[in-house]
Amino acid sequence: MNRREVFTTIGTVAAAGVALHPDIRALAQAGKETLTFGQSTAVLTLDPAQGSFTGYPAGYEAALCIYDRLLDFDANMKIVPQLAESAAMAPDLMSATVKLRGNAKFHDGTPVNAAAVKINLERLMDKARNPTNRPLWDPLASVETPDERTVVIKLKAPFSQLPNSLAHGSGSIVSPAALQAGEGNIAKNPVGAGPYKVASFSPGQELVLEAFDGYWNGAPASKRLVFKTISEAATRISALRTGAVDVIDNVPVALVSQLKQDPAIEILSSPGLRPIGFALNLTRAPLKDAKVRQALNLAVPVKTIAERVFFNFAKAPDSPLAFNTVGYKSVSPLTYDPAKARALLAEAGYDAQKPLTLKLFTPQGLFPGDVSVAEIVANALQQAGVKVEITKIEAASYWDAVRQDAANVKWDLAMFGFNPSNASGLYHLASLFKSNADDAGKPDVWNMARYRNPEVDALLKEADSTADQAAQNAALGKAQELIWRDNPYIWLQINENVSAVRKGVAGVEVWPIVFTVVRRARA
Amino acid sequence: MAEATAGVAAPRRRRRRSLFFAIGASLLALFVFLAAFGPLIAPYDPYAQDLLALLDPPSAAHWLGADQVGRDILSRLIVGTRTTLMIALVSVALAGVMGVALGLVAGYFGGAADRAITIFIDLLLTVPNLVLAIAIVSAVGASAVGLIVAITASFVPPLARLVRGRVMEVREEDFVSAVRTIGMSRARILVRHVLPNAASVIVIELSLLAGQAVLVASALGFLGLGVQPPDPEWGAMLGASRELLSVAPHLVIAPGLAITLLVFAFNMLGDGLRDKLDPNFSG
Repeated sequence: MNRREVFTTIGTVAAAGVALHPDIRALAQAGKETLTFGQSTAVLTLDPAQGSFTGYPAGYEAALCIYDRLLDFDANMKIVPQLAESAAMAPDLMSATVKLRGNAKFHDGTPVNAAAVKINLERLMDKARNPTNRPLWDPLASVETPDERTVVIKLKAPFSQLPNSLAHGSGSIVSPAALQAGEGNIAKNPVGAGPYKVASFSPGQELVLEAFDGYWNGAPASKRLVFKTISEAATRISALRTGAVDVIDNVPVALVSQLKQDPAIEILSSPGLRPIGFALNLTRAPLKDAKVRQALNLAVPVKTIAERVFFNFAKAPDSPLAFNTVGYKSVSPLTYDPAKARALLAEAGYDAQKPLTLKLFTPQGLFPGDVSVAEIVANALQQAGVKVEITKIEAASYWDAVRQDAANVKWDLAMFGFNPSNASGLYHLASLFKSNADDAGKPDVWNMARYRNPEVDALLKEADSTADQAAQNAALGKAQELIWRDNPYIWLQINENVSAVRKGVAGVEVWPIVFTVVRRARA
Repeated sequence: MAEATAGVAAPRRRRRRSLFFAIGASLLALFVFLAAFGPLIAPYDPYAQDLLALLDPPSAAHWLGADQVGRDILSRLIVGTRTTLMIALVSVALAGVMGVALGLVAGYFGGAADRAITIFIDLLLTVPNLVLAIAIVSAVGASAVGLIVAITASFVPPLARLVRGRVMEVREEDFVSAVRTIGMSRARILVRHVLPNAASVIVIELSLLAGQAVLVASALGFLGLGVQPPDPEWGAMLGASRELLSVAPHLVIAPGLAITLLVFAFNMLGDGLRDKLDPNFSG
């Protein structure tokens, strides 16, 4: 081959390379064994019973790949079997019998048997753990193991929601052998029975998972999963565009239309289950007045917020629960009537001479468009004659700033959104609106408003005690009506969850509960 | 030959520097004017939201466009000038008073006072000023006052060190020894003879620090540690809209440009002052 021939050949190959470029790229992608997920929040710990995967929802998203639970959700939040072949509630709802599948193994080779499940459930029942998940596990009284594959869960009171608890992320089953090696180990070196095992983990930065060959349900779709924390939205999007990551979550809705024009990118979205609003501090005298609470709700243009700020990727709620929550009942749409709001405030004794002044807390970067929404709400309330002082709090310190003993609560209005991560409306209502044991202390779960309505408490108890879905929904429906009329919140919007993937990536699920799940995904 | 070149170039250089000074001073005058009369000049109420104009690009109605809740960006920039300028000037003035006092004492008296102050200054100088400011503002709380405290505290050490050095030089000058021998009081010597001779250095440093103060204040605002919403502040305007850079660049460009211009003005002024005031500086 003389020099000229060499150059011609190189030229031809180069030309072919250019011409074939898209196909080569497709080929390379089809052969990709690693799927990389750029997460807006950070995976910090992976112990299901300690700190409940702090770094919500990133920790849960990773946990779904590492751990299996007794029961699972499908992408529509329907409960399906996982480590349990079946889970049957007794007719009186005082116990449940769980049959385990025989072929499941932990990553360390030990079997997933009744004894292992018992250790895990007892860990979750420990009241010192996971304070914000208590309603899920407190109803359990004891766990019995009649044989290797059978677990009987005894309950303190009728608890129809047990299957939801077993499917909830905190119900992840951990290897008892790993627990024995040291409780603290699990958070950084988790050993579960899920489709992926941990290859390396730098909390807050990167988590690398490898397919687990011994998985009971066959090898997963990808060989490797990489979870990278990319908190800045613009950086996340450019990482997706350049192909540095295959999946991203939490796409700001203002950027969706632009991103849609990129032929290499596909947008995935699902209606959310997390209604955002401002909890009202009901221990403050002015907010004890029902007229004031109603006025605050009438003063906010919720429809405009959903349309303009969220480009219709959000809806104003018509009940304390989101539209797709199990047990949701439509109560009544919110109305915007600033004139009536003014009139109600005047009736309550507030006017320009003696205005109502409220301290508003908003996080920065925790909920979609949080600061903008807070500014709009503050402005709308001001139009109605209420003086509002905004305090903006950095996302990481927000929970601590708002979830306080009554004496240390500095806010009158605090932005909040509860995500029922087991899709159960009963769990949602109980977490937010069931009376706290002691209103002076920290809220038992998330009843930061310190809402107290004995009728609602009774209805929630009734819903918990019946296996009859219709009766349960009826009780929940009544509870929603009562709460809605009481206005313990300024109700705002329910956002859609928007994620994005590179074209060709398959199997990514965007769950209504804000989780972007890559357990079944491949690049 | 070299001398001849320098002789020709020097006046030209001087002219160029006066031009810098003029540019800096007039830009600064413009900002001061905006700070003083902003609310009267602004075309809109900087707090008024028009949700229908949300994210609108620059137009005849909104010259610099509207922000993420539909407020007029030009009006917010104009009204925000006061906040930024006030934070910069107040913190630099405070830092000036404290830094000069510490530097004078340390430089003139020497001994134990000097050692104590120097150790304190060196300790603070080991922490970069932005980091120090972030730590302070996190402790004091995010507000204009918090920003002023943070910036003042981070500017005292470099200023005190500079003044100390200059005072140590002046202290050894013959005229100082002379007034000392005739029995003039220490306070009088400091105020009448030492301070005036350190003044040029101080004024130049302060004008440069003012530019830095604008940057630090904007950085803290960008990080969400500045004034609370809905008050307009340039850094916070930048920070709140960085996510939207690709779809609504006007949200970022306008405050970015304002910060740049103000810092530029202070730096030009500082450079110009140096040439006017510092006889030793001619290169």
